[in-house]
Amino acid sequence: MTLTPELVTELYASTTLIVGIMLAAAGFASALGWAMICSKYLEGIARQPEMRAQLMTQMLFTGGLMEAFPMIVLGMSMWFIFANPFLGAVKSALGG
Amino acid sequence: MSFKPSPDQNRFETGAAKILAVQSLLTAGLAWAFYYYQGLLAAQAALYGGCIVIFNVWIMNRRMQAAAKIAQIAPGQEVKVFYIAAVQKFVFTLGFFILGMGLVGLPPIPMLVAFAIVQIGYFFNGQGAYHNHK
Repeated sequence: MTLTPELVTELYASTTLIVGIMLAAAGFASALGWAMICSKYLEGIARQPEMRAQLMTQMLFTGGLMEAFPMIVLGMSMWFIFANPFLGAVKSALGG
Repeated sequence: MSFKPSPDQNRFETGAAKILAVQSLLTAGLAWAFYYYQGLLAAQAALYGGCIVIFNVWIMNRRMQAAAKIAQIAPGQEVKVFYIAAVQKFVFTLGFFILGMGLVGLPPIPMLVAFAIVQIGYFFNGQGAYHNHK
């Protein structure tokens, strides 16, 4: 079996599909995380309005930390798209 | 060494200076480790990955300063600044990854490893933020 254009196309199509699913899951999780963080922030302000500034700082940096994981997924997605590791694996498996 | 600004600067203390310091140290350490074990190109990629995170924190800090000023003038309007900051962060990260992996051709694994590990710096925000009184 050789590395035909059809095989490469199929590989890229599958990778793109997987990347789409990964990004969708990361986006969903990020949105859920932000929603939870912001709801707790608003609850905190409602309880102690004078703590608003501190809560805002905490909320944003906690959000930043939470968002690190979707960002890592984003980085992995870019890796799969721009430096597809599966293509190299298929090439070596086929001996080419 | 104190990261707190003097009171006359009228700045909103976010604790970002501490995060940036920790992240810079982590980036330097990771770049050195990759240089030692895998060579110069891997070190450059690690440095690049770490700098993406540092840039994100810097942007977020700037936006928070802007939001604090807006909140004093028009409370509630600062949320727009956060939306812009979130979009900016996403776009810049995406752009930097495309630039690094796609155009410059840096090795992706050291870049991603550095990017993931440097995020640990976010854990060091607590103390700075709690000393923030306005």
